[in-house]
Amino acid sequence: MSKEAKIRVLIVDDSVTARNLLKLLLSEDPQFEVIGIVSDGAQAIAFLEKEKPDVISMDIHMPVMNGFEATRQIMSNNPVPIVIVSTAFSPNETDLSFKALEAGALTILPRPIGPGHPDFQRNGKIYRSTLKSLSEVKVIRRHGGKFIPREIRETDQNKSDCRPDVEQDQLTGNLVAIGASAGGPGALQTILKSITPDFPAPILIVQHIDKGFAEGFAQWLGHASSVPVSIPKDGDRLLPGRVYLAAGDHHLGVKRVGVADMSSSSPEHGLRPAVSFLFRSAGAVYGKNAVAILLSGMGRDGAAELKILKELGSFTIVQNEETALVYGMPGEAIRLHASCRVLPPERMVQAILNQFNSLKKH
Amino acid sequence: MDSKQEAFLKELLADFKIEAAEHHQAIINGLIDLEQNPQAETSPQLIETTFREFHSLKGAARAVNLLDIERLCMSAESVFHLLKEQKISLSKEIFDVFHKVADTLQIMLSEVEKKEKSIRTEAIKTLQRRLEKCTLTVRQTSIGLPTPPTFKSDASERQLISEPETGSTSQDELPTAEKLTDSGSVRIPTKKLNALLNQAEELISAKSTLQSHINDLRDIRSPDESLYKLYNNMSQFQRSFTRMIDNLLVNIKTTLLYPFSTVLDMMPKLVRDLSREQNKEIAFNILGKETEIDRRILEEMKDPLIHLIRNCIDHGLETPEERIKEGKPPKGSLSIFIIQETNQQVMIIVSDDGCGIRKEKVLASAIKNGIVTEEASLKMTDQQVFALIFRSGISTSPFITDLSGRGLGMAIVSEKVVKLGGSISVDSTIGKGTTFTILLPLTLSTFHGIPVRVQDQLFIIPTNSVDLAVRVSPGDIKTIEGVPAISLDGQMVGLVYMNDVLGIPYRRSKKEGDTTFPALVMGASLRRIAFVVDDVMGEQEGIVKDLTPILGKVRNLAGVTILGSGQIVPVLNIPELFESAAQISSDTSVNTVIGRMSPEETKAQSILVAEDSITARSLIRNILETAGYIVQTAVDGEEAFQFLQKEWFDLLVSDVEMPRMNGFELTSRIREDQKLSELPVILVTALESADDRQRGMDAGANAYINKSSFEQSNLVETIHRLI
Repeated sequence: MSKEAKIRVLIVDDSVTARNLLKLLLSEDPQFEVIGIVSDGAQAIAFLEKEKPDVISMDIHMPVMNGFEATRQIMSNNPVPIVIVSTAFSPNETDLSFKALEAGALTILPRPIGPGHPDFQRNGKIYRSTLKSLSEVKVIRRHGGKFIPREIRETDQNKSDCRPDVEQDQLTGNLVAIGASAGGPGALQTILKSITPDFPAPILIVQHIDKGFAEGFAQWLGHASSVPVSIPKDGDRLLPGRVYLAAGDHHLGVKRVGVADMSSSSPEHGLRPAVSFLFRSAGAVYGKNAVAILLSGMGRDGAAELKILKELGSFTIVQNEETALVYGMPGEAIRLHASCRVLPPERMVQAILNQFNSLKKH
Repeated sequence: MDSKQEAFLKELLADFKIEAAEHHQAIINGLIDLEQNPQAETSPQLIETTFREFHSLKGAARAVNLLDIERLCMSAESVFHLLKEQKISLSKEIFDVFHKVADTLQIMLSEVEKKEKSIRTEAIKTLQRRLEKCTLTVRQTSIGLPTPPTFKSDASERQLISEPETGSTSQDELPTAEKLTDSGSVRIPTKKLNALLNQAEELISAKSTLQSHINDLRDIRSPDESLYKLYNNMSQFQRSFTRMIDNLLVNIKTTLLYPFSTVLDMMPKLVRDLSREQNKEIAFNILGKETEIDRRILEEMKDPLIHLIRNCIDHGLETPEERIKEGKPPKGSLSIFIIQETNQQVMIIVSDDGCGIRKEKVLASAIKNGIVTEEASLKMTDQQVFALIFRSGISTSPFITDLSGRGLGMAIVSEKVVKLGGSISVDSTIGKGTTFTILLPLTLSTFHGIPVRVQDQLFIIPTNSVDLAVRVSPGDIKTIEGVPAISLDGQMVGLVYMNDVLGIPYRRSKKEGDTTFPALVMGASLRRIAFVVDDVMGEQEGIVKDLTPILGKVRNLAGVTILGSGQIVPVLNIPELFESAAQISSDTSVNTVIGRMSPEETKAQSILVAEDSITARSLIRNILETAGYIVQTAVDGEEAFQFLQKEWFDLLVSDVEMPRMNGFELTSRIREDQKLSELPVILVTALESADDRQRGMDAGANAYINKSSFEQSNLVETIHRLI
């Protein structure tokens, strides 16, 4: 992004104090320009009729119209990248926030904490960097919170040089590892919808999300799928047909076959949980029997490790550019030639099952 | 925290304080409305609103790093979330916890900028646990609130009181806070508005300066036509200029109008807490709180209104048992009506359907304090008797508490109202109730004063405090019981010289042959004094400015004003002037009509202080010695009792919690002792529940003072009243 182009932000929050804090945080970086500050969802929609910001910072509980309803209407009429800013740790609030995610908001951020707190600087940095990266996302119009079915092109550009060596090993079994960041929740939900209880492998997911939201996120994902979604404890058995989500501030991986590893080793790419940890660990334990998926997200987390998995003979899938809300992570994986398949989320599970079946036939 | 962060925080805290106060008030409103009307159709709406207020306060607190507030709000919010989902229902316990939360939040919010917080994290955790407990009762207590037994009797109750139908209008106008953020309005710091008003008011003196210049111009005797023309033009300009200024002032004052709700919104909570404390049931109604009035008047009226309400609850309304005995509905009624009388006046009516004011008690107290003579009391009308309660030193309560009963509150209420240019009256029927009626000006009226000359110095006396001006000749002065006095309308009025009162040395400057001198009569019926001055000039319009903080408080002066000539003249403070006049009279061993204890009387009295804390002991000793008492101290009840056996004391001040013998036991022992049974006892304590007060009363204490509201004057005044 050129230095001159300003990132134009609309702040939506019913608390004047919170609004001013967000404004102050953005004023730290001259690239941001706050073009509007409004106090509820209805005012945000009215604002959008006059002017279109590059990104919206949206509170969730507000009088008149809440953040979910506002997100739903904005995404179906006048789509703009939306970041939900909401207090974590409060289930009734996270519920609504996840509904907003479903309706097309890109990510959820915890409310930044005020000056004086040790985390003040860090929270501010995360707030700014999230808004900055998501302001570039090309959002698409949704209806009633659903993706408009788009023409799906097969973009298996790397299919030719990919020879997955995955075996359905009766002894070790398989493992599916999924990495996702901003824009990932929607894709994850789509994937889990097509997982059935007889799915032959445990599914491990690292989704970048603030630790306060992890539990709510697991519940939300659970509602969408017919298999249980849980946050495992260190050493838990990993069962086929179950979905395991990384906890707030622990890496998720496997200690050995079928055993969860919740590690508090240092963050990677400044992140914990990191997709790189999951992929590396999957590769180390399952080798070619691991299947890995990299979904929408900012940055590069997991791309290099995906490449290593592919070289080990694993089956690797990357979300295609058309459906990835944030193409950072998938784009990097493509650049590294780390994918066996480039697919929209709704076709990933079938691809994995096909792969397993084709192996069986061998 | 670096300086930049600190600057950030400071800026955010300024927003936070305003925002938090609005949320807090809305929370209280929501709680009170829900509690009063648990079954109402509006309940879900109220729950939703209150839920959101907690939520918003939580978010705002986080933005300023006030994590304790954030946590407490979060716990409260989750209970409301369950209420919203109807997983639990409202109960007495839940309300109690929430009121406690609201109280705690209030303290926390008042201390956001302080390093030392009086609310500890443990206390918050305890509250959080209590809130959590509420969520555990999911579905267990969901039968709902026990319907108050008085619910059905509401209609008959109203008829009985024969008061205007109040309905539920007062509960329907919640979102006052939201009004402020309407897109059609802006927030302006009050400071800026006040500065604007001050500047506009300065123009009043420009008005009189212009008038005085025009007068000078008129007085120039010159045949020059152009001068006459100039005078005419100036006069014309003066008229339009005056009109412009007057319009500007009216408009600016309108911007300073605030709805009564800004002050009255806190009252339901007060009534709720007090009635709970005293085990009384009260239906509280406010009507007309949207009526607007000058913000400065509103601020001044806050304490008086609180006092009136407390008074009604303490002395007016009875407990349900007493009421049933009287054949009234168990639930008492207390109402505030605000009515805009004219475009210049607002009427506040505070009424209860309690026991009414007992005339004989008022009179007894007035006679005891020397305010009226027994003889005069026989001729007084009901209205005159009731008016006595506004006089300092009158209380009908035999027992002194912190709240009221010290006989000072009503005097202060009346003084405030009068100072604001209003009036107060009271009407009462035994067994039926009491009604206070207050008339207030809509805006702080421009000050009118009478300049007077005392020796070489000019002073201004507020016009509204002057009853009449008279010319007195030496022959008119009579001496009654050693007091110089003059006869006015058949009543004798004390006479004092203003220069004596103000301490200005007397130099005869009177023109020879002028035998009469002017005097201004001030004060009301029973308390009138004629102040002799050297000259009285015409009335003057202006504004009173406070003295600069450097001067601080100057006795007898209320402020200064600027005359048309540009001269700065002090404005006299009339209540203080009366006190000074009273002192002068007693100094010269002359007693005015004002019944006041001379300071000598108190000097020789001795007081025993029983208190186990060294700090408190020496504090009390200091206060009492400063007030001129002889003080003996004892470390506990046991020692105090030994002292009492040996020596004579006029009064005992005792702590409640002491080793060996506590204050209650000590008091009971004293009451049982033949020799000591009449000794006045004041209990000073940290305990503050109604139960303890009751225990103190049962033990036979005469007064009960709370340490947390412990003030020097409070204690000395109480002693003063008892001995």
